[in-house]
Formats: sequence, C-alpha cells, structure tokens
Amino acid sequence: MPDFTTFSSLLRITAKYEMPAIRSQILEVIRDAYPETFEGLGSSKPLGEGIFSGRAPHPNEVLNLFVQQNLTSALPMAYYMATRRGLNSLMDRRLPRNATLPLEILQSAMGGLMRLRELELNETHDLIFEQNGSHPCSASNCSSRAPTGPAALAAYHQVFDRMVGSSQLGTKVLQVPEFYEDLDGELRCIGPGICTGCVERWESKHAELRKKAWVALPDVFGLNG
Amino acid sequence: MIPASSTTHSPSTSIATLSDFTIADVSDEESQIDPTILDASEDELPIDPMTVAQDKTFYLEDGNVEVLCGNTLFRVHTSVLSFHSPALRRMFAQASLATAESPNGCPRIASSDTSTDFTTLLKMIYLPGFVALLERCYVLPLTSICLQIP
Repeated sequence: MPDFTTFSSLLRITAKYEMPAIRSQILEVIRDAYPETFEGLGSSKPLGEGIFSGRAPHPNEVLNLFVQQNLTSALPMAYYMATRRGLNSLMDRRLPRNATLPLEILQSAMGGLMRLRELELNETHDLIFEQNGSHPCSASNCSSRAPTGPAALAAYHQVFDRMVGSSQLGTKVLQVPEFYEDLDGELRCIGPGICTGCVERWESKHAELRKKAWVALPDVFGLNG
Repeated sequence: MIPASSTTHSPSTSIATLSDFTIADVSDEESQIDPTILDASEDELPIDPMTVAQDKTFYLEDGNVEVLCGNTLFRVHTSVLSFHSPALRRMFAQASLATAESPNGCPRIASSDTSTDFTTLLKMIYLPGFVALLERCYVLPLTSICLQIP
C-alpha cells in the first residue's frame, strides 16, 4: 500500500488525466477502508488512515481529500474519523493547509459532533433505564432491581460513564463499551452489583445502537442534501 | 529534483487493536495535536524560477517534451503519455508545441500539477510495478490496526 502522499496523488491524477482502470482500484481501496455500510466494518480489517504505509495522515487531511475528490460514500466515515479527535483537532491552527478544514467542512463536522452527542445521550439513557424507568431484571441480587436506590444509582452512573465517556463528544456511541473490569484476576461489571444478564442485554442493545448511529452518520454530518 | 520534505510525525493517538469500533484509540480527553505532525505541502513552497532543476528520474534525454511542475523539470515522451491518458493526448494536441519555448531543444510546457503528483503519474506510466502496489494491499492485509465488532 502506498503512503498517503502517493495515494493522494493517484486520486488526483487518475481523475484529472482520465485513467479509470487505476482509479477504480484506488476507489476499491477506499471503499474497503472507509466503508459506507455497517456491514463493511468487518472484524480484523484495516480501516481508516491506518491503511497507509509510512506516517498516518491526519484525519483532517483525509477528509479534505475525500471532499475535494467528491468521494461521497467514504465521507461519513471520514467525517467521523476527523471528529472523534475532538474540537481541538478539527480547528487546530497549527496544522498545514492540506489538513486545515475549510469553514464549510468545519461547520458540518461540528454540527455532526453535536448531533452525535445528542443521539448518544438520548439513546444511552433509554438503553440503560428503558422507557418506563425500570429494569426488567430477574436476578434477585442485581442492583437494577431497585433502580432508585443509592447503590443502583451509583452502579448506573458507572455504566453510563463507560458508555458515553467524559469527552462529551458523542463519538463513543460508535464504540463498543467494555462493561467489565479486572479486579485481582476476576472480571466484574464496572457497575457494582449489576448482574451478567443486565450486561448482556446492554451489550446486545448497544450493538444495535452502534448500527443505528452508523446508518445515521450521513444525516448527522449533513451529507444527505 | 523533487523537493525533499522534512517529515516528522509524533502521533498523538495510539494505534491499537481495540475491542470496539475504534480504529485508533483516542482518549476521552480531546487529542492534543502535535504541531509537527505534518510536513508542509509541496504547493505551499515558494517557486523560484532561478532554481528550476531537472528531475533525477524522469528527465529522459530522448523525451520530446519538457513539462515544468513548480521548480521541477521533467522530460518525457508525448506518445507514451498520450497512449495512457486521453486527457494528456488532448493536452499535447492542443498545446502549441511547435511554437513553445524550447530552451533545451524540445518544447517546454508548464503544468499546474505539483511535482509530486506528476512524478506519481510518470511512475504509473513508466514503471509497471508501481500500480501493483495497490493490488498487493489486498493480498497482504495490514494487521497493525484491526476492527472488532462483536
């Protein structure tokens, strides 16, 4: 795999000089590394800017290139990759010109961040507490059986933090939360007293949430119109 | 000669195989970007007409046209380039090669491409193995960064 500089050159010149056979190979690489669908995110698969040899490009640089080249299907993930580094990265003035986002792209990225955060908070709350505010747990000793008690609230707080993180970016909604921690060789739920059944239910629901968030990415970043 | 770029890279994120969607791990805190993370792009470098230099690889003595990209001078074959690219074929047909400046015995035309881009184009055309780089990336999947979705 070439480095990003060469890859960028290939994209530009195969378009400018009308070399469709080679360009289609490049586009295939991009489709693989920046999949449009959730199903494209296969396991053990190289993704994002990490596919390039040599130094990994800044995600802003990749985003700029994809916008310039009008690579529509790769844009949602390219936006996501850039936004997950946070506002400092999106707006860093020290970056060179090719990694500096034009105002229009920056607006889309920042708007997307806010929408992702909203989605993350709403969906995570529903996921943990369910719509009626109670948890359908059948385990007699699970903290979630008494969802308003202080122990349960503390446990929920831990779980919620694990899902949404402290970055307030909203980009954790697309990451798989780790509900267990290793305590002296024993795996325990990060929410004290929460039973395995609850964790499994959250894991399953969060998998659905990730898919939902992925599907929403084009709308999140204003790419559908 | 292609301008050398000074590339320094201090990634602010750790690349890892994560048990999540993450492609590269980013901490909950916003990343602090190292100001030296990227080199200046070539097109930001000033062009000094007095420092035009022949490209070490693609100044081909039997070429019949010189192409100037920034400060770098290439000498190539119009027939070879035209064979691979209809756009180049049109460009050479439209350019008044007969009346163009010819300081080195063949017409010289200026291109808006950076020397890096034009070098890549010439590698594709003159070095058959170069394009195979793209094919190999499928055969040999990179494992440094993995995605795992349960």
